[in-house]
Amino acid sequence: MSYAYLFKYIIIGDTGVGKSCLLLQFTDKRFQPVHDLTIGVEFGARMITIDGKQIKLQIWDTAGQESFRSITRSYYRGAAGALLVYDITRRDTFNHLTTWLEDARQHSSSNMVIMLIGNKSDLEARREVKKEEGEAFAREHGLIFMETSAKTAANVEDAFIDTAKEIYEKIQEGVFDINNEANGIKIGPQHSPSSSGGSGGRPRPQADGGGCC
Amino acid sequence: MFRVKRSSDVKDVIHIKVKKYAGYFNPESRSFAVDPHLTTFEDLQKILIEAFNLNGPFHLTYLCRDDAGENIFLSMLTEWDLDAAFLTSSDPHLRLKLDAEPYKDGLMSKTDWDLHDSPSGTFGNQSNVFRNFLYPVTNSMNSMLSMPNMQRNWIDSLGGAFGKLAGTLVNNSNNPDDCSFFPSKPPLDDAEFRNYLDETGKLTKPEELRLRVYHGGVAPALRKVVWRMLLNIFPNQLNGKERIAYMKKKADEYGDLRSKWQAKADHHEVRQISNMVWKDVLRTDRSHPFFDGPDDNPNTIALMNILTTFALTHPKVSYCQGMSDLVSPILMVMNNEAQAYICFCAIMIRLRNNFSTDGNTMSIKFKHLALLLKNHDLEFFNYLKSLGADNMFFCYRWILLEMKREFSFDDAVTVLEVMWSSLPPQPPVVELPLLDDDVDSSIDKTFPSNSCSEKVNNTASSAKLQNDFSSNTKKCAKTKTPTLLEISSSSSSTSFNSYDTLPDSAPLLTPYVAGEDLPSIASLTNSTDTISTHDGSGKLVQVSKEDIQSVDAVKFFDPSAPLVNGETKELSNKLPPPEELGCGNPFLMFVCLAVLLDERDTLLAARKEYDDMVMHFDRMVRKHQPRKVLSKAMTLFAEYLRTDVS
Repeated sequence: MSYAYLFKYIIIGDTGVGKSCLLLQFTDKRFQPVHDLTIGVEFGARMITIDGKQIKLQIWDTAGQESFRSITRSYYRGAAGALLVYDITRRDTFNHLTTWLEDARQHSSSNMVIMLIGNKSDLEARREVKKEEGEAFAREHGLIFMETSAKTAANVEDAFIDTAKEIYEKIQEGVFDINNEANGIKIGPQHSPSSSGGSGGRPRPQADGGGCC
Repeated sequence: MFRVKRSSDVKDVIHIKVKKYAGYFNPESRSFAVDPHLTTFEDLQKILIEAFNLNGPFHLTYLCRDDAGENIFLSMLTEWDLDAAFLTSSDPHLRLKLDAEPYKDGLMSKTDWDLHDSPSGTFGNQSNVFRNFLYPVTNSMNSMLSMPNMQRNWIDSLGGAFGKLAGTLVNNSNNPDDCSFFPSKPPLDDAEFRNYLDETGKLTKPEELRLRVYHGGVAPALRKVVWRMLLNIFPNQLNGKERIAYMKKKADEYGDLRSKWQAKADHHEVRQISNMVWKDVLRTDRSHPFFDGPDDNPNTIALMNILTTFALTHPKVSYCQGMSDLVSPILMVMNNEAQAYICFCAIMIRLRNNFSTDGNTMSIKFKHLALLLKNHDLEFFNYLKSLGADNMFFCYRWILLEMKREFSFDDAVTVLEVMWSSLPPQPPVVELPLLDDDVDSSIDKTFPSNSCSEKVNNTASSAKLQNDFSSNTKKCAKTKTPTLLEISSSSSSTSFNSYDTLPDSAPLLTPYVAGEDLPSIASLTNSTDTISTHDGSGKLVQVSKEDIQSVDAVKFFDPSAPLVNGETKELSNKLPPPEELGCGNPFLMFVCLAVLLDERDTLLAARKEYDDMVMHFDRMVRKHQPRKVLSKAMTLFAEYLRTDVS
């Protein structure tokens, strides 16, 4: 399937906060209570529509543990969006956000859009981090914020799509150089710059159909 | 009561490390301690004859530093030589070289030890260190293929099988989907297994046993017994009864280690680690009947106990994700928590570097795989390169878990045992250590080092981690060790000092594993390289300044890093020899290659993009066909071994 743009995302955060489950909910619309432990980096992709344009999200789901950091860091580069996830039922995963954020900022393009996600909102009874705290952290660091539940699917679509909208907006405003793939954005195959609505992308002849999902 | 008169300057205990060289065979290592005041030269010779099972003449030399500060090997022929060696060359270890074929020329001239005399050519030294330390079996495969007339007995058995293997290769090379390579024999069963034991149950043909498993795997009922051998948990020469006693003793040892932390289950660190492990075991192979049922089913609990005990008794490695995947098939086969722990400790001797936060070992493995693919299929390699996938990062899980997750659980069991059988036997000399030697036997004293928990969710630099590790080991470092700075300042002293910095591990008859020599010595030589690489940041250097006794900060670095960091290697397209390829598991590289090649036509035809290519492989998780993959891998491996020899 053809697309106007491809956006690369990365999902980061402590181990066990639900990164892989968010991805699975978004790409497959299902929840798998027992999910394989992510080793290194795994992938997902889905097509969405923004402003009438087909956009392919290519999502890199990283392992949360420190021992994988040397490999997961290499995926920050070339990501247009990041979902930084913590678990609202585990205070420590919230406390680690600063180091995650520093790590992400240090290794990524400065324009990367970061969405802060407090996951497991269905577990209200076990909540350890107030929603206001998440909001305050996001405000302080200039992030978008949302609480989600990979289990009930609450806000999961929005989290991925809102991030894409923000990236799309930045493209419209010319903030992203869409010809530079290091920004995590790619113009779709057989997609002329005139119809992309973007600023001056060059057409790409002879690429494949791309769509997998 | 003293049998010999020694100078009072001689220490009370002398630690001795011996390497035996014999012809084309890789050196064997032994490590032990003696009381110099009781041990005569004749005693030492007897110990060595016993330790290496010698039945002919041998020549002994010891490593000594001469007046000019150069390392040399001096002959040890008399009581007086031994006295001199004890006095001048035993701190912290007396290093002996045993030449078991003293009258053959040309084979012993380039040993790793000689190389330390040369201040230049660090890189060359290292590759030789590897050649000498690693993999008698792969080497023997080479020897067998290239020198069929030597060592008749041993080669005959290996040679026959591999000759057949090479024949099959020729016959079937035109059929890419051929599965006949594996299995070429039925699974090893109980009756046939007895052929590899003597009447007392002693394993008399360890290499042949491995070769047999390589060709057909092991019958399920026999796995429990054979896996313990393949995983190198038994010292050589134990008979059946002794193996049972040994397992009982080690199982009790495990029980003690476990009960120590379980008694402190409320301790902050213990809780933190067990919580972390618990989260992961809850998502490890739960769809397999063995781990089925409620979260607190006995096998999932056993998995948690094994990993928590390991993390607390191996603070430098601690717990890392992926380990639960490694334990789970072992636990299923052993069906016994303590035995599975013992096997896990053995396999982690080989795999622990995969889990180090610096990622060096993994990075070398990626590079080797890329090189292998490039050599084998340039078109496919160039396609991956065009996607930016030639770093092979997408094979991370394959390599870290040694393909365990790429096959269904039950198939993975076969693939793993076949892969282990391709590796040389590396039995512990006395017994297998169940805890790191820097952890006190009273683990409650030493553990928990904060490195365990910090490793998990702390984005602190690895320098910080190393700092933790080394401060943890300060307590047990007995000798003055040079700083990294000192090492880096002079390459000629590096080699010599490297012996000083070896952990002073062995109390009298301490369990010691031959393979342990490898990381220590190799990594120490490597430290020079590490410093120069990171010098610019200043960070690492600072750490070394603070940690005068940074034995383990040094040891922590990956032993084989310079093999690819070294420019010579980076530029070369030549495949490393089997003892280097894949950093300890060359066959794994061929299993990965087989999986890649299996999909190459599909991927090339579709010209898939990066994510689609990776997802293509991700969708095949647990779905690969073991016969097809192993057959292909074995074909490629045999081909490589033949080329490597010629």
